[in-house]
Amino acid sequence: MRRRLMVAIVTCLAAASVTLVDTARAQAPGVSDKEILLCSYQPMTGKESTYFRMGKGADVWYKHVNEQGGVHGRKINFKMVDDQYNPSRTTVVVKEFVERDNCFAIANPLGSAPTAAVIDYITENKVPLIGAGTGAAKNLEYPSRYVFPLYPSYKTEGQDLVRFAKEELGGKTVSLLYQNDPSGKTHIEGVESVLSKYGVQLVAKEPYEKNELDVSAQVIKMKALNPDVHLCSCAPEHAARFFTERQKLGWKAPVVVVFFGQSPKVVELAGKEAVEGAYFSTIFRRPSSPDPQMRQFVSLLKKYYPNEEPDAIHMWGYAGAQVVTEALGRLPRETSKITRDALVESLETIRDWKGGLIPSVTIGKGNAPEHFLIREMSWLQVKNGDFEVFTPKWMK
Amino acid sequence: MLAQQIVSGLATGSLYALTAIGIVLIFRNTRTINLAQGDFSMIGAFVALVILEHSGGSLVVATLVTIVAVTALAVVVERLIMRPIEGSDWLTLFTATLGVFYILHGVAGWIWGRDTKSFPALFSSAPLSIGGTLISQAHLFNILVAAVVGGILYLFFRFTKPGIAMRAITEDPVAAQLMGIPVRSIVLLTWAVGGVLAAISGILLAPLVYVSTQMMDGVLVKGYVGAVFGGLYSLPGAVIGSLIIGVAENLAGGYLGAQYKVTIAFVLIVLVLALKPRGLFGGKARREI
Repeated sequence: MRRRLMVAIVTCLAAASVTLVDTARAQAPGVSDKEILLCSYQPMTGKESTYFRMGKGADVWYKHVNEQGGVHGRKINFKMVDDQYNPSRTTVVVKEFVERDNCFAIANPLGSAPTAAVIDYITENKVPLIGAGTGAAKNLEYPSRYVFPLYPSYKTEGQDLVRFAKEELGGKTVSLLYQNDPSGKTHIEGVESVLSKYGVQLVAKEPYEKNELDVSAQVIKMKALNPDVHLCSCAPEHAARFFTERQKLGWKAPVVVVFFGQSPKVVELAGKEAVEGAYFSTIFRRPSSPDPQMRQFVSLLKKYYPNEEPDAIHMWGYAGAQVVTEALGRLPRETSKITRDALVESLETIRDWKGGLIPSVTIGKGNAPEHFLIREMSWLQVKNGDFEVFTPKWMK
Repeated sequence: MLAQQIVSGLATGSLYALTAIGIVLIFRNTRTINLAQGDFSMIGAFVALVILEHSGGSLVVATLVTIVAVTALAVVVERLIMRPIEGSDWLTLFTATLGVFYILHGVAGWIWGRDTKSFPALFSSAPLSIGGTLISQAHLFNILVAAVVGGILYLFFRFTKPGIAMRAITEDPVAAQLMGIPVRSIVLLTWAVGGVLAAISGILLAPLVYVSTQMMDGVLVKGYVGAVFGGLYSLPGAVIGSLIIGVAENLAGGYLGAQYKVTIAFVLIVLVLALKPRGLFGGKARREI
């Protein structure tokens, strides 16, 4: 009798636990019949707040989608929280996203160092991390199916910079000014990995700190070594400081700046003359492009953030958000079938999709290296203060 | 390269000098290390930018309005925040200015946004060549303004009644009050002069460090280090200390490695305080904080 009772109790417990697991599978965090909660850490204040444009760009797209009725009738609740580009703060913010807010996914967040600090935790909790604005190797090569990087790695970009210096500008020696954080260090890794391949010598690599007011010491030192080409792995404000100092010293060597330094702010802060002729890598078309997707982006940004001048950083968020809603749209309509794993699988179905600002999106199956939303760099040159499309010889 | 690093270092130091003078001025007469001195300048830069946009680009109008606005701000801070706690210990006064620092950061961000803004250049971008080394006109002007302001304040303290009264308060506030010196008015005047300095500093620095809520954060720290380096009571010491810090940063960046630039200022300050606790120009023993 006692044995029967025990069997009955164990059976009931087993049945209950199966039901609980089923319920957990069915009820994905952050999803209801009316809403999907997407969360994002952003440098809304502090030294890197220029990059909050990315959050605004994503917000523009989600607002637009909501105005059109949402995705399958569900509104996107896009929650942005300020981490001030401070990894220790990001850690707290993301823990709250996952454990307190029950966010469905982390979408369109910004920062190499912040993301590197939280990526282990996010993936351990099997939360999709989609379209993060980071180029640091750790984040882009992360062995997890939950990570969907936005753009090519800074290592790849570093390699492209050397190629550009050699094949386009005929440089045999280069110098490099870089931000002393994972983004800059990944650029160095890329640059150094192809020096012998292209027969280029790196004569100086000088770091700057994010809160540094003045880069004159570094610029004087690099100019004295007389490199043929200078590479700048700089955020817009420090790129502007570099150009101002370069102009003062009369340094004429051509300059190639990484894509996260490509912002009209550089020209605005340093002045047209100082930046004239400089090359920038980029991942998007120009805001002035007649492409209908670009025109829509410009008009929506104007509508929701009338004081913002459209630039590439807005596009990081906007374009990434478009891919997110595309993947959400491919999910089943029933709330019970929407899970984080289903979102990952939905993203992996995107092939040659041309419905957004990125000309074509193809996402592979696998881990982060197969999941890039954007795969190729393109190039711009500053002419009369404007960013003009520049096509290197190897792309013609 | 050595000469260029030194001249560029002087230029960097000139960014810190006016803030250092403001810190010293207020500290001498009130024993308050004013952490909001940099943010007075930041508010000044934003005010000047707004006035420039609305006055057809008149720098004279912008400068005058900014001086009035920032002086008024400094006076309000003194009357509403510092005066009620005037008898408190230095830590309370220090903490109050820290509060003002954060309030001004928040208010500026709320009014003008967090984005970095450009400020019209006051001088041509063509540099001047001094013995083959180059310095921008704006930086050279900064050095001159810091030297002139330091000189004017020196003469003010030496030869004018309010200046002598301020010095008396610095020496012994209680005795000064007993001698009939209106201590409160002099303290208010001190904050007002600090406001004028901050306004000038904000306008001069805005084209060089760009306008944002954080534009003066680094300047404040280095200006404070420059002020302590020079002796915290000495106005010429504040200027010279700031210039030395600027040069040391550039030499460290140029010859030891850019990663030592930030560290060197603090290494120097520890060394100076260990060897000469009242700073390079601190003079004889005075009331310590």
